[in-house]
Amino acid sequence: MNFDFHFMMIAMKEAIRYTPVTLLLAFVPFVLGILLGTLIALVRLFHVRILGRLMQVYIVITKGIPVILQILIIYFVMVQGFDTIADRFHWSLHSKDINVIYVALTALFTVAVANISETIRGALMAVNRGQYEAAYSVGMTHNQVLRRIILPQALPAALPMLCSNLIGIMKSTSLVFMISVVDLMNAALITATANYKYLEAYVAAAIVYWVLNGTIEKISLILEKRFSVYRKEGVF
Amino acid sequence: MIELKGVYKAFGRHPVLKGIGLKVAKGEVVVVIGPSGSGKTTLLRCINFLEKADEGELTIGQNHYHFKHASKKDILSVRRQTAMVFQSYNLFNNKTALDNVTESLIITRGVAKNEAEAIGRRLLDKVGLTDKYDAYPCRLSGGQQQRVGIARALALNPEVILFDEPTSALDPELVGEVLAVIKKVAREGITMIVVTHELAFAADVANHVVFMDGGIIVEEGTPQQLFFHPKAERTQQFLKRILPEWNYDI
Repeated sequence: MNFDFHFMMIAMKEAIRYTPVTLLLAFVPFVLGILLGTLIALVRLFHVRILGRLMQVYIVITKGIPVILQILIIYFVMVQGFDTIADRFHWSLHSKDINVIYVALTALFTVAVANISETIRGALMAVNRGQYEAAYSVGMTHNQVLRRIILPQALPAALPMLCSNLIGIMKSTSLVFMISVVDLMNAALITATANYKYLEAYVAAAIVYWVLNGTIEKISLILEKRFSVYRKEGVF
Repeated sequence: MIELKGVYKAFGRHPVLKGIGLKVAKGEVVVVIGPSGSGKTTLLRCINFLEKADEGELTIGQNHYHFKHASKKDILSVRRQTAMVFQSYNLFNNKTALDNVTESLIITRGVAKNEAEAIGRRLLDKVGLTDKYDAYPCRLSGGQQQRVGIARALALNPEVILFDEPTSALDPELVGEVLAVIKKVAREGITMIVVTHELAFAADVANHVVFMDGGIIVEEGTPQQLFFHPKAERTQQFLKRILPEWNYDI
């Protein structure tokens, strides 16, 4: 086996050039996932009647299906659905005119929301009941209790898990090459199509992913330290 | 003045409070005693709607409330006229001692921040925590945390402060400092309902003692009456089991 370092560097350059696409695909679903995921977690925690049940069903389904299948299913549903509607209303626009990156974002978003809402629900449950009771007893409204007392304690507790959620999404973004989005990994692979040096391209992509995720991990550790000033130091 | 009438509460099929009536005059200190599981704590928690009683009425000053039909607004209004000191302190973990005291003033009463902080410092001084303004709860001992809890309750200037076994989670050495603070507050004429197992303390500060068992008030009266001339057999039984421990102090 001979490994072409020079070609790996070329593939890596190409991968780095498309890193912004991967970052977009990871961070947009992540940020929106935190916002919507927090809402879903609250809805489920407080047993909001119909909505809570509905969200539970959605999460159970999403958690049980491989990400790649979700991407493919959403791709076909969106493409065929759009074309049906376009035909019905005689639009000149067709699915092939739409950037597939939106399909990828939608698919990754549905995955991210399910995982993140579970993370946040766990963190909310970890906040002691007494904290809710004390906050209610001084006359706070539901909103004030959540905003001032519960979420400021739950979110820092959720941070390590959120970090691994983000890393999970980041790794899942590599699957979008299945619907021909050109991201970090696809860009590296395309350079290899001419000379079949796939191993070099894969290793190049792997290194870039590893650096990205390592950076996220590092930032998460710094944030964790900052947010937990009120916790006891010492044992850990 | 606080008045409770016909308070009934069941957890599932198990009744915990079977029609409680209680009257507390302004500035009075009422101590509720009784064995574990007699419904003392539940009664206290029903007063500020941490538990929702099934039946009964509550009067605070001029305002009347029905437990069964209380709206969200009613509940909030009751909670803003009462304050609670918890057995397990329940200080806000993400806030410093001073912020714990000022938080509700700023958020629920709309007091300006610097004004609230002045009040907060004054109250922390009063409970003897002058050097702990900026300490987080995890840095305070149990006794110190409970004193912050009392300051937090005082800050709201409530119609009544509800003490739910305020010293039960403390080790014996720290009980004294907390009881001393409660005594000091009681002398200032703040209306209090105290659930406690500290009978010597009850005899010392209470104007009125209530003995509860099995979800009803068995007997009530002045400390003198209740402790030294109990009428009901159940009260005599209960006191006999506990009295020898503190008989010498009186």
